[in-house]
Amino acid sequence: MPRERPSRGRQEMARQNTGAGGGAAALTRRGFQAGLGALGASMLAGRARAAGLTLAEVQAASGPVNILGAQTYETPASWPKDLQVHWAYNTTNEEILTKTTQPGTFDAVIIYQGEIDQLRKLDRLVPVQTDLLEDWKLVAPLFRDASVIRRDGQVFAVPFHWGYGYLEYNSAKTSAPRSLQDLMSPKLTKKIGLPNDPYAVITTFALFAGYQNANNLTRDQFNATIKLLKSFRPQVLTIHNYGDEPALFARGDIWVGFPEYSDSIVLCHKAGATAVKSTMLAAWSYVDCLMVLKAAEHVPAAYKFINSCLSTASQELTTAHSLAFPVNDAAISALPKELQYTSSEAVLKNAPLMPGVTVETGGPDVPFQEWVQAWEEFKAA
Amino acid sequence: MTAGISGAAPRDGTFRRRALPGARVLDTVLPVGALPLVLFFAAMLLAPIALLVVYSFFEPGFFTVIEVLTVRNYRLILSTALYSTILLKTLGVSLVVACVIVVVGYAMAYTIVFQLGVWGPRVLVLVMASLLSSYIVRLYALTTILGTNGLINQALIAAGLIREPLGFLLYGYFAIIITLVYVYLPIAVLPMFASLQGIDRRLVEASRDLGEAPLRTFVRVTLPLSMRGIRIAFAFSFILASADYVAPQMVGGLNGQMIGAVIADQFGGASNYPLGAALAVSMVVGFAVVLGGLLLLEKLLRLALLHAPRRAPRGTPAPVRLPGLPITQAVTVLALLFLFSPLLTVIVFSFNGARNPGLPFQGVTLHWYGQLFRSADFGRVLSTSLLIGACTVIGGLLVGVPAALALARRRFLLRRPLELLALGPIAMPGVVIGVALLTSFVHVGIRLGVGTTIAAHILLVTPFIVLVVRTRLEKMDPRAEEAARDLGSSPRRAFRTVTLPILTPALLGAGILAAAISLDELLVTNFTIGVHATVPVWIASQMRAGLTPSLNAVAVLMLVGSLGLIGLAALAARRGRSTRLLTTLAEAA
Repeated sequence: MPRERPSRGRQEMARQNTGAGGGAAALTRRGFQAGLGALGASMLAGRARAAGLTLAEVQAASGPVNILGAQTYETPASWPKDLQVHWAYNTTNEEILTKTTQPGTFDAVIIYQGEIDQLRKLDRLVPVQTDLLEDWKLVAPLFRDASVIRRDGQVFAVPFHWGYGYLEYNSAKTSAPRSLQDLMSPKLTKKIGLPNDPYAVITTFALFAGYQNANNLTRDQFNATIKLLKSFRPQVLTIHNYGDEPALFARGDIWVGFPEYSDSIVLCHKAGATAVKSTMLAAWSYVDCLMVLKAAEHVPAAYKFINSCLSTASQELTTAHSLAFPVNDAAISALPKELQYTSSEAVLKNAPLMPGVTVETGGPDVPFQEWVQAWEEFKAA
Repeated sequence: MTAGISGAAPRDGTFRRRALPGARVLDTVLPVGALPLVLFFAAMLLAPIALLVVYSFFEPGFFTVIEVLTVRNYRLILSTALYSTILLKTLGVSLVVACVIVVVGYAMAYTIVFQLGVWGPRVLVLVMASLLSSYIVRLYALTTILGTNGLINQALIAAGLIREPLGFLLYGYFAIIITLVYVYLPIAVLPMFASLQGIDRRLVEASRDLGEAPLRTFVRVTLPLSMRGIRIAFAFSFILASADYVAPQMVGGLNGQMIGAVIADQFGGASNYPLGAALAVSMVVGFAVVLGGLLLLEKLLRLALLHAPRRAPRGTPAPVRLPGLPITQAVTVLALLFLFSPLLTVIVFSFNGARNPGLPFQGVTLHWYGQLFRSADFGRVLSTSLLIGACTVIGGLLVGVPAALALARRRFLLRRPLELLALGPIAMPGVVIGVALLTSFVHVGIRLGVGTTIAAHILLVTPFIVLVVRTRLEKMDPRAEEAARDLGSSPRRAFRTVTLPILTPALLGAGILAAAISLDELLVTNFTIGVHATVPVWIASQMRAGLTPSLNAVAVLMLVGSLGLIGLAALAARRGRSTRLLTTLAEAA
C-alpha cells in the first residue's frame, strides 16, 4: 500500500539534493532514499514509456508478457506464437487497481475506459505510442479517434472490444418497459435485478434522471440521481454479479435486469430463458481497452501483444469467444446473428460512449469514490 | 517409571527434559519448537495486521494513506448509521447462524457418538465429505434449490401443497441464514463430536445407575462435559459467518450486504484504506465483545445454578423422560439431506445439456467434462493449485507440528499467547488478511506469485494443523513413549517408533484438511497470486462471463479427487478405512 507524506516539500528538496546541484552535506538518509526511489522510478518509467522503442523491436519481440484481464478475452489461439502470455484474471473492475499495486507484476491490463483516470491518478499508466502498432489503422475511426481513450491529447488506452449496457426483460411476464415509470409498476416489485456495479447502475439512473453527461454529475445532479435510485429500491430483488442474470431469468427469479452486457441476451437464451428480450432504454456504451503499465518489464512484448489483438483474425477469435463487439469492423461477422449490427455509429447514437467518472476531489464533478459510497448506502439501506 | 530416567511424566501429561540452563530458561518462556510458528506468524500475520491497525488511524488518500494521525475513521463508523447498522446486522445474523449451527450440529454429534454405534464414523465421513467441493459452486447449487422456480418450489407445487412459488426461500434473511448454516455446519460438528467422544461413558452410566432420568443425565452430565466443544463450535461458526460476505451477497438479495463486503469495497472502488482498516478492527472488536459477553453470561448462569436453592427430595423423584421420538436421529438425517442436496444438485447438473449450471435441466451430456479436459487454462490453473496445495501441506506441517508438540507437551510462560496466536488467522476476515499481506509484500518488495500464495496458505492452514495434531498428542498416553525410553530407546528412536505411528493418522488428517482449505481458498489468494491463477480464482473470473455446467464438473472432480486423496491417505496410514482417519481428524478438532 503506497503511503503519502504530508510534507511534500521536504521530499522535493531531498530529491533536488540528489541532483547535480545538490550538495553532499545537505543529503539526508531519507533524502537519499527518496532520490534513489525517484531514480528507480524514472528508470522504470523510461523503460515503460518505450522511449526509443522501434517498430522493428516490437515486431521482433519474444518471450514472456504478463497480462491482466477478464477471462472472457483469454483466447490463446489469437496470441503471437513467439510470446509467452501469462494471463491473470480480474473479476471486478476495481481489482485492476489492487492487482497492479506491485510495480512490474503486469505489463498490460484490459479494462474499460473509465479506469484510465484511476490508473493515472495512481501513476501506473503511460501513454501508448500508436505508431508502434501496425494494426492501429484497423481500429474503426469511431473508436480510434474517440476522446474517451485520450487524456491531455495522448492515447492512454487502445480500444479492444466494446459494448453497451441495455435493459433485458422477460417478454412472457411483462411488456417492454418504455420509461422509468413502467419499471416502477407494482407488477415489477421485487422482480428486477441490478448488477453489483456502482458505475453501471448510477450511470443508468443518471440517464433516467435526464442527465446526458451521466459520468459528469454535479453535486445537485448526483444527489438527484441517488434519490431516484433509492426510490427504486422496492422494485429490486437482487444485486447480483455480472454473469448471474441468465440463471436469474432462467429460474424466474427476475423479470427485468439492467444494465446488462452485450452478450447477456445470448447467454440468457442459451440458459433456457428464451423469452428474454432487450430494449435500449437508458442504454450507454463502454469500450474495453488495452493499456500499458508504467512499470511494465516487457514493453516490446506488450506492444506486440496489443497489436496482435487488433488484427482481423484475432478480433474474430476474441469476438466469437467473448461475444463482445469488435473495434475492428471486419470482425463483426464473428458475432452471433442476433447481436450483429450494421453500423456502430447508429448503436452509439442510442447508447452514448461514456468517458468514465473522475477521481479528482474538489472539482465540479462528484468523484467516483463518492459513487461507491452512495452505492454502499443504497445496498445497506 | 520415574521422571529421573525419562525426564517426564508429571500427572498432567506434559513432559520435561533435561537441558542446558540457557535452553531451560528459554524453554520455560517459549520452547524452540514453537519458534517457527511464532516467527512465521509474526511476519505473516502480526506485522501486516499491525500495519493495518496503524493505517486505521491515518487519513485516507486515493488508494493511499496520508500519515496524519486521526481517530476520524472510528468516529465515522460510530456516527454513521450505515456502518454501525451494518456491523450490528452482521453480528446479529451471525449470532442466529451460530445458534442454529450449535443446536443442529450438537444433535448430529450426539447421534454420531452415542446412538449410531459403528455407523457413527461413517456418518462423520459423510459430514466431512460435504465440505470437499468448491464453495462457490455449492453456493450456486443452493440457488438452484431455493430459487423461484427452484427444486423446492417445483416439488411443493407438484405435490399440490402450494400454488405460487414461495418467495422468501431466496433473497432475504432466511436464505442468508440457511446458506451460512449450510456452509459452516460441518466445521462446527467436529469440535462438538470431539468433546462428546472424550466423555467418559462411565460417568453417564453412573448417573443412570443412581436413578437419574436420561434427560437429567444429559443436562447434568453430558452437556456440562461437552461445553468446551460447544464453545469452540459457536466461536468458529460466529466468526466465520461474520466474515463471509460472498454467500450473503449471492443469496441475500437486497439484505445481502454484510460488513465484509463493505470492508472489501473500501479496499476496492471506494479506495479508502484507513476506513477499511478501521472497519476490520471494529469487526474483530465486535467478535471479542460478543464472544466475551457470551462467556461471561455462561459463567453467571453457572454461578446462579450453583447457588440456586435446591429443593429437598420428596421421596423418590419423578423420573424425567425424554420423549419416545428419536429427535436427534431425525435431526441428523434431515441435516445430512440438507448438506448433501447441493452436492447432489452439483453432480446432476454437471451433466446438464443447457448452458446454465442450474435449472432448467435440458438433457444429459458429457460435453462439460470434455470441455474441461480440453481446456488448457484449466490444466494450467489446476497444476498451479496442486503445486500450491502440496507446498502448503508440507509447509503447514513443518510450522504447525512442532508448535503442536510444544503446546501439548510443555508448560511455558507464553503458552496462552501462543494458543491465541495460533488461532489468529481463523479470527481474522480473509479479505483483511489478503489486503494486509498484499500491502506487506509490496512494502518489502517481495514479488507476488505462487511463493507468496503458498506462504499465505500456510498461514491459513496452520491453525487447523495445530488443532488437529495437538489434540491427538494430548489424547496420547505419554507412558507409551516413556516405556520405550525406559527400555533403552533414544529419544529420536522413541519418537520414530512410538509417537510417530500414533501420530500418523492425525498428520494425514491435518494434511488433507490443509489441502482442502488450500485448494478452495479464494479471498486471500486473489490478493497474493500475482500473474498466476488458481482454480478458485479461475472460477470466480468465469462468473463475470456467466457460469456454465463446466464449473459443476470442476466441483465434481474436486470432490472425487478429495475423496481419492482420503482413500490414499487411509491406505498410507495402513488403516484401510478412511473413516478412522476422519475420526482422528474430528477427535483432534
